[in-house]
Amino acid sequence: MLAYPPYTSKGYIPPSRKGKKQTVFRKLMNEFLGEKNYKGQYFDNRLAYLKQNNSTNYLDGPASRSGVKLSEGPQAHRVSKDPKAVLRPFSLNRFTVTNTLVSKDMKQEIVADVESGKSLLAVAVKYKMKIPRVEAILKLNEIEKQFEASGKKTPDLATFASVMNKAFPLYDPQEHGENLTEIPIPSETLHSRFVTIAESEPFGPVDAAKEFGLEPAAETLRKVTEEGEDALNKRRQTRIQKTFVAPMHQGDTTAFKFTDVKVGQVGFRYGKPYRDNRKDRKYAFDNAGNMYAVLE
Amino acid sequence: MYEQKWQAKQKTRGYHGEFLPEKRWLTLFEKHLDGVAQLDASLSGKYNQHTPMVLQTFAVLEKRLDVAVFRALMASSVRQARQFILKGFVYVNGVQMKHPSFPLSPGDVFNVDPERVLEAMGERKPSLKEAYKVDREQVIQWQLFVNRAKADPLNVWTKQQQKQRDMQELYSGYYNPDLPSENESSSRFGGRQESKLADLREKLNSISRRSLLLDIVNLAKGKETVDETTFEPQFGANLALKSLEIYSAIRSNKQLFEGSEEQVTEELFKILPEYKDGQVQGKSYDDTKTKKVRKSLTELKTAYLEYVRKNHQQALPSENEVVNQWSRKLTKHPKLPSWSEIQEKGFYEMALPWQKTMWGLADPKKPYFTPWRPRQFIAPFAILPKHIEISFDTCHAVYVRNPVARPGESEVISPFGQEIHERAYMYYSRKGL
Repeated sequence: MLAYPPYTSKGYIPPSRKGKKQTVFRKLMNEFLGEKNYKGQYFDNRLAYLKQNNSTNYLDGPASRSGVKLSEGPQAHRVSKDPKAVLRPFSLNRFTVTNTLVSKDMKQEIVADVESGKSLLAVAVKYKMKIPRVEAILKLNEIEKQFEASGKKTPDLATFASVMNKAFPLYDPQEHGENLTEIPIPSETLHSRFVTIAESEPFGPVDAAKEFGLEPAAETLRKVTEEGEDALNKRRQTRIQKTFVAPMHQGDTTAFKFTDVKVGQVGFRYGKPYRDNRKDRKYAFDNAGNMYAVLE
Repeated sequence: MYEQKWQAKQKTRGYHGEFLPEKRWLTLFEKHLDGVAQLDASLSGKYNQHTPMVLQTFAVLEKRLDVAVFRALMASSVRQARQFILKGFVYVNGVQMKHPSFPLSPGDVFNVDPERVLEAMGERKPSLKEAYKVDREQVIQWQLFVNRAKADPLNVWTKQQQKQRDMQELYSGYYNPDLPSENESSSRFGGRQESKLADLREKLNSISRRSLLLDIVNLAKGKETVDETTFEPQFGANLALKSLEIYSAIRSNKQLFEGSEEQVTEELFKILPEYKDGQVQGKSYDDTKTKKVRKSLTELKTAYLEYVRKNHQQALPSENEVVNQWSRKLTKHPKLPSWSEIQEKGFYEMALPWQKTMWGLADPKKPYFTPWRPRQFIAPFAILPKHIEISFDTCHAVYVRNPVARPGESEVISPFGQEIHERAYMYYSRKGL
C-alpha cells in the first residue's frame, strides 16, 4: 500500500532527469533526500547523520517531511513537551521506544558496587534497573576487559564504538528507570470470570487470585526477583513424575523401575509414522550448535 | 473487516519476518501474548496506562538469532544478519551458530565478527574508479584553492575561517566525518594563538647549549670591546653578565673566533660533545675550564628558555604574519595520473592535507569504506532494543529477556501502530487457520 501523492487534474508526470524517466515517487524521494555532493553524500539531510551528543535523530512523522534540511536550521515544531517523544523512532507507533545507553562511568560504578559485595538486588534498586540487565552489564564488562587485553580492538572498531556510544541518549535512573515491581501477566487473567458474591462481602485482588487459582502477585514478584523469570515457567513445566521400583523376588536378576509418562511423549511408539514432513516439526540444538530434529 | 485484516497482515508481515514464508510463520505464531503488570501502579489505584498487548503478535520472532542480531545493530537488515549467521560469523555463548532460526534464551551472549559489523554499519566501499573520480575533483578544487590563496591570502584566509566556523555550527551535534575535527581544523586554519604556540615550540626546540655558544661567539666576533651591552639585545640585561662570563672563558679559543665554519663546528663538538649511551662520542676537552663553561651554559640555557617564553607571550604575531606563514606553506598537489594508468597499477598516491590515502580506500583489502565512517541514513533506524544489552566496543550482546508489553510501551520494535497490529492479530488468531 503506497501513499499516493495528490495528483493534479492533468496527472503530474515529472520531467525526465539526466535522460532518465522519472516517477512521482522517485521525485518525492529525491526531494526528501536532498542534494548530493560529489562525494556521494547527502550533505543537507539531517537524517543522514548520526547524532553525537547522546540524543536521537528520528523522523517526526509525515508532517516533518520538509524539516529534514540541515540548512533550514532547527525546526521549532520538533520541540515536544513529552520527554519521551525524543525516544520514539516511529511516529505512527507511540508504544515503540528506544532504549537508553548506560554510560561507561555508570557501568564502572555498577561493577565496582557488585565487586564491593553489594547484592544484585541492592544494585538493581540503586540504579532502578532490573537484575537481568545488571547481570548483562557485568557479563559484557568482563568480555570488554578480555577483548581489550587480547588486542583485537582495531582503530576502525574504536571509531565505530565511539560513534555509536554517542548516538543514543544516556540512561538516567530518575528519568528512564525501570519498574521493579513488574510481573508477567498470568494468562488466566486475560479472560473474564464471573462470580456471584454477597453485596457486603469484601472482594480484593487476593480474593480474585484465589478465584483464578493463582498465587498472590506479591509472591510471584518475590519469585521473579529472587529466582529469575524462568522460575515461573519451570514450575509450570515440571510435572511430578510418579516413579516406583517394583518389589524384587528371590532369584530375580533385574530390578524394574516404573515411571509414569504420557503415551506419545516418550520413546517411539510402534506403528507411529515418522512425521518428518509435518509443518511444525520440532527442532533442537546440541551444545556444538548443530540442529537436530526432535523425535516425536 | 476481512479486507482490513488482510491489509494489516500484509503490512506487518512486510516488516516482521518478511523472509519467512507464510506457512513457516504460521507454525511459529502463538495466540498467547506476553505482557507484564506493574504492581505498584495497580496497588496505588491511580490511572493505569494501557498495555498494548497486540503489539506482541510478532514477539516470537524476536527470539530468533537473525532478528536479534539485526536488533542489536550488528547487521543492516534481518536478511544480512541471516547471511552473517549462515557464513559462520555469529557465535552464541562462544559456539559458532549457523542456524538463523536458533531461539535465544534469556542470558545468552551472542557476538558477531567485528569486521562484519563494520561492513554492515559502515559506508559502502567505493570502487577504484569512484575513489579516483572523487579524488580528481578534490585535487582540482585544492589546486584552485592554492591559487586563490597565493594570490589573495588574507581574503581567502578569512573566508576559509568563516566557512569552517559555519560548517562546525551547521553540523554541531552530528557526526560528519568529512569535517575536520576540532584540533585538525585549528592546526590548518588556526587562530593567532595556535600559530603563536607552534612558533614558540619551534623556537624552544631549536635552543640548545651548542646554539647558545654559537650565538655568543657570533655576537662577540669582530667586536673590539666586548662587554655586557654586546649580549643584551639577545639575552636581555639579566643574562648578559652570564653570557659575558662564558665569553671570557672561551675568548682564548682562536679556532672558535677565527676559524672557518667547519672548524667552528668541530670546536663546538669538542667543548660540548655528543653523548651516546653515556659514552662521549669523538674528541672532547676535559679540563676544568671547559667543564665550567659547560656548567654555566646549562644554567644559561635554563634561564634563556624561560626568558624566550616570557618574551614570546608578550609579543603577538600580527594577523598578516600568520596568514603569510600559512599561505607560504600551501603547496599544490602533484598531478594525478590518468585513469588508464591507475587501472593498470591498481592504486595512486594522495597527499592532500586532510587525506593521505585514496578516498575510502585507505585499506583496500577491507570490505568497507576506510577509515571507517557510519553509513548515511542509519540514524532514523538506530533503535536500541530494550530486551538486548549491547556492547559496541566488542560487538557482543546479551539477550536479556523475551520482549514484553508493559503499560504504555511495547518492547517489540515495530513501525506499525496498535490498530494495524490488532487486525493482524485477529487475522492470525482466527480459528481454522
